[in-house]
Amino acid sequence: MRCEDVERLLDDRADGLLSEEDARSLEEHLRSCGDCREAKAAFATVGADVRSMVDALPVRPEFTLEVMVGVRGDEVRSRRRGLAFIGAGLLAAAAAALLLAAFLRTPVTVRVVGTEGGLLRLAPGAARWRALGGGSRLEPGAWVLTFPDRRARFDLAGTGLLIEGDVLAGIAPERIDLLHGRILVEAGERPCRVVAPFGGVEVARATVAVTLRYGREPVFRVGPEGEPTRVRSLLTLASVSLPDGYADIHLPAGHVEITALKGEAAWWAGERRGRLRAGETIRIGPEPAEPATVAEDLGDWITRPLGPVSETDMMLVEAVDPLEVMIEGLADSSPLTRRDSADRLGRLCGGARAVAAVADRLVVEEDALVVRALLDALRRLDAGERSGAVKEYLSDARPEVRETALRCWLDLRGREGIPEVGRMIDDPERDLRLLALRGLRALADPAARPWAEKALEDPDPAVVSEALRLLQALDR
Amino acid sequence: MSRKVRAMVAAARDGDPVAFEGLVNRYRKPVCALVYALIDDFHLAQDVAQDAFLVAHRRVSTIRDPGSFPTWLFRIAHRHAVNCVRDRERRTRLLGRAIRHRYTSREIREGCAGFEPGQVEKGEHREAVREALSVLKGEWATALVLRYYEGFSCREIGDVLEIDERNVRVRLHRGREAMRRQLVKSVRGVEKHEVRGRRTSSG
Repeated sequence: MRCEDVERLLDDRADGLLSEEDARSLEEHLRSCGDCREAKAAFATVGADVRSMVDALPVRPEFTLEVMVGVRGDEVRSRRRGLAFIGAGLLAAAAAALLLAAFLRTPVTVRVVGTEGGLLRLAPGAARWRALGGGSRLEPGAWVLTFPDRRARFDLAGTGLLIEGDVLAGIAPERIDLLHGRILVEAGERPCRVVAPFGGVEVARATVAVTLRYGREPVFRVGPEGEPTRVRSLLTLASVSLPDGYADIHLPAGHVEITALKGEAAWWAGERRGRLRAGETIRIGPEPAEPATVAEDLGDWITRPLGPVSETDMMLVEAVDPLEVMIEGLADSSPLTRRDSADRLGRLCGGARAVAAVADRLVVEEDALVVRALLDALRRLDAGERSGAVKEYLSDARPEVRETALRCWLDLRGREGIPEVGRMIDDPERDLRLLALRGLRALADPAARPWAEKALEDPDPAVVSEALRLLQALDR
Repeated sequence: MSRKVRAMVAAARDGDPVAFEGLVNRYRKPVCALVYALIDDFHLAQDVAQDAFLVAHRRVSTIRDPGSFPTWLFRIAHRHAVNCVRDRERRTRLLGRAIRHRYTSREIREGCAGFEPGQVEKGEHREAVREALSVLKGEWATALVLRYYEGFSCREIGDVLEIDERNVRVRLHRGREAMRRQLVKSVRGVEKHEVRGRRTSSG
């Protein structure tokens, strides 16, 4: 027997495939060969190591619970499928009818037009949903995580909730709960009010984990748990490690646990306030009210039947003029809200009130991101009459603001704005000089010639070549 | 496979959720290990493993012989992992990317390390977790987990991984070698540490 065969024979022996004769010669070889005896001992060590390593894997404690919630969802869905609806066509027709009925019985139309990042829970019972922009398909009762830097538009006006942009998908819910973050709302016939968050946590140079609980079962967690990669059952949402920021927490019932992982965080709930040092946990929130009104676990949510939208079901709905909501938002203390309000005004509105509000805010706004959003809004609103507010930003100290201002100026003023655009040829930023020359080329006005000739002396070859292109265009 | 597990499989097949929960508890670690060996991201691996369990639950009623449950379950998990590796780009594009956009992977990792206080409070245990996560990677690790954690034969491992027995043996061989090298490395690490400690105390 050769030493190379020993490993194979040991494997065979473990599998019970070794003949008696081979087993005997293997034993003999092992007795006589020290190297192979060592190898055999190493096999055993490897086995023990693998077992202890697998046991040491940090599988998350909710692993089984999450699987079982998925299992329960499966069961509910299959029970639903087994109901009276036979065939996909019938099902679709019935769903459409239900949706229509829900809509007709409830004149409330709500449009949620943006968020500042957060977590929405779309309640179950959705009659239809569709995926947009390559996102995954959401199932009824799914979770949607939105981010402040991603635009989202939620539209509940009768046909369903569409979430556009970089966010994930769309769904037609009978209710929508905002569990975390802030949401910006406008209403149709009935004005609406955003229900104030129940509590929150402010984080400065700290990392916190927030575990929300409904009843006794943990429903989801916001905290630095890792990457939430699955949309279908986002029960463990993660990575809101908020290095600097805040999280609003909305709780219809249940309670929330906030744990500071590192640094010091501040929390608030109603009138109560406090600070948390690393390792400390605070539990805040109303306890579950009546079992009848509070879903004890996700299964109860899943089994809620599709019904009409009611005011009690909508956490978001009550009173005010939607345009007013957005205009008020321009003066909000949070720059994120101001930016979002400007954006919404630009995209969704028109008219003198919107223009005046944006232009007035532009005069006093300091935050660069908000200024840019306001400039963009003016451009979208085609507010040529208020372009004076844009002019001073052409010489702003922040290049990114100058850039947005220049684009806005070009759109609003056209040929009348050529002298101001021409002056940008002296801008310290090469990209801005290029942008100005390109803008002039698009206008193709002979008045731009002196600026083009001046740009020929620019130290940057790209600018010179753009100037040449402009001159060629003017010659044509 | 113990008689208890066999009974749990039979009950789960008849629709008993408690029995299925028991099976999830019994197999979650090795299934996560198998998936992690291919995916190299433990959080994602857990999600994929959960998906595999859900698929297993949907199909568990089709199992004839409860004894075949482990190989069947690991085969599902392995296929899920392979598919996941294939379309990982697409999967991570959603929430994962959005999060990475805001937080560095280091922040996410550090956050994770601190998150399960019950599990990682002891330095020794943290070391074990770190070692497990750094070693149990690569194709050979799948074979080792099935071999030594589940006691699968080469043929069964081949069934799960959809490769022939010769390949299984090759992977086992490489796995053992890698583990031995790892062991030598960590022993050397300890020796170095001790030597340094002695020098410091003598100097």
